[in-house]
Amino acid sequence: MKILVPHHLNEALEMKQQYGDQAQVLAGGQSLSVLLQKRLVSPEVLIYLGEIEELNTLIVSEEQVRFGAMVTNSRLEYSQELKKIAPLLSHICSVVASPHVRNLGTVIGNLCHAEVGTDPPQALLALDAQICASSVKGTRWIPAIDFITDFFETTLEEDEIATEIKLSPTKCKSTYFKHKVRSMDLAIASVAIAIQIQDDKIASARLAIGGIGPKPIRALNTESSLIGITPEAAIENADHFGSSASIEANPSLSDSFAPAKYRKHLVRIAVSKGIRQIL
Amino acid sequence: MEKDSPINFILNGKPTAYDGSSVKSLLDFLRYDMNLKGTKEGCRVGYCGACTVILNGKPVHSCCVLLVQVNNKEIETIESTSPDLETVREAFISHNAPQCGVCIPGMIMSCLGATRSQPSSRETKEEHLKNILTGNICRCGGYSRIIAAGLEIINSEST
Repeated sequence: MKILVPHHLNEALEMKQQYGDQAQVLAGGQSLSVLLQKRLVSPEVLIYLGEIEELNTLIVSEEQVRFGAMVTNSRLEYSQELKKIAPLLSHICSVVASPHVRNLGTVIGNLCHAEVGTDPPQALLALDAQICASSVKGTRWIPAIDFITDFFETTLEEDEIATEIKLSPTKCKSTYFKHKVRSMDLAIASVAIAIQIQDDKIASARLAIGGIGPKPIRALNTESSLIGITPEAAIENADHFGSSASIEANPSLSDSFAPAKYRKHLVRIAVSKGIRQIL
Repeated sequence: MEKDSPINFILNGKPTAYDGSSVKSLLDFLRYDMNLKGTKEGCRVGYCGACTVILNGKPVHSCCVLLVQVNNKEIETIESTSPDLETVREAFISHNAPQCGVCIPGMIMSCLGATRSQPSSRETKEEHLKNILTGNICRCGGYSRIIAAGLEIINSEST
């Protein structure tokens, strides 16, 4: 195995084009280096992105939040502007594993690893983020909902590298619920809720649910039944929305931590509690 | 471009180089190439925190850092002689924090990281310390004395 260290994005994309699925991309390395040392993956080539300056940019403005593939969780966690503009993303980045992991681990790396129960995908789903997939042929923007396709699988092609995430922050009330056994664990079930209110009516609602099956999902039917009603009515029927979201999520994952039935129970509680808490 | 060129970094204040011949974790380099056995190997999956070192001022798990990632960076281990590390060590001794002692190098490095960083706006200094220590596990369960030692340093700094 050899390590390639490109200094410009173009070089990195050419390398990825050349080696295809024989090359693994290394960013923060908090997941990949464990897999490498356990010999669970053995790529011919590692492409390390850390020396590429342009992937280290973080732009936060009222209109848009953009960040590159080398932006770590702790950088987003400690960004004062991001906390004001997209508090949900900032909060979710502060509950990923431990500070040690967040100091090196990147949001995009976490997303590309696509492990069940990680936190950032829920933030990106709830904030309707888009992920930029770059290759030598050009770039395409993938909606966060379509990015993760299965256990440890993403929609990225062999020659593509996820380079950037963008989202348009909207003024919304949001919360994040994560159930775990120990503070560093992956979530057994997690729910991110972002609700936008206009003229005392719910204008938009997004419920992103993770840790329950092969990929994070959005409870689209529950979302649409929330739209148009008043916050008071939503609070009154919070239990109903909770059960409806849990039926929609229909957790399929049973493992040593929890059976699917318990995950379903957690989603129901989290959604109803969350709605009561933020409205 | 190919990483046959050496990897250069500052280790405990001294310029250090690795020839880049193989893919290696920082933990293995510290323990077996540099013979700095103070940094312990625990779970090796970035969970227990026994291998914590300070990388550019921030605590990280050295088992999950490949050497290519530390090029041109600064690393501090438990063997460092910096005065603020000495203060943390003294506090751990005066509070009798170690029991079996395996987690302690990692705990000390994490406490050092806490004293060198500012708490975010959503947490107090004490919460900041406890938050950073979530990355370290002590199987003797000696957390209360470890936290007491950490708090002593943080509180003495603010006065």
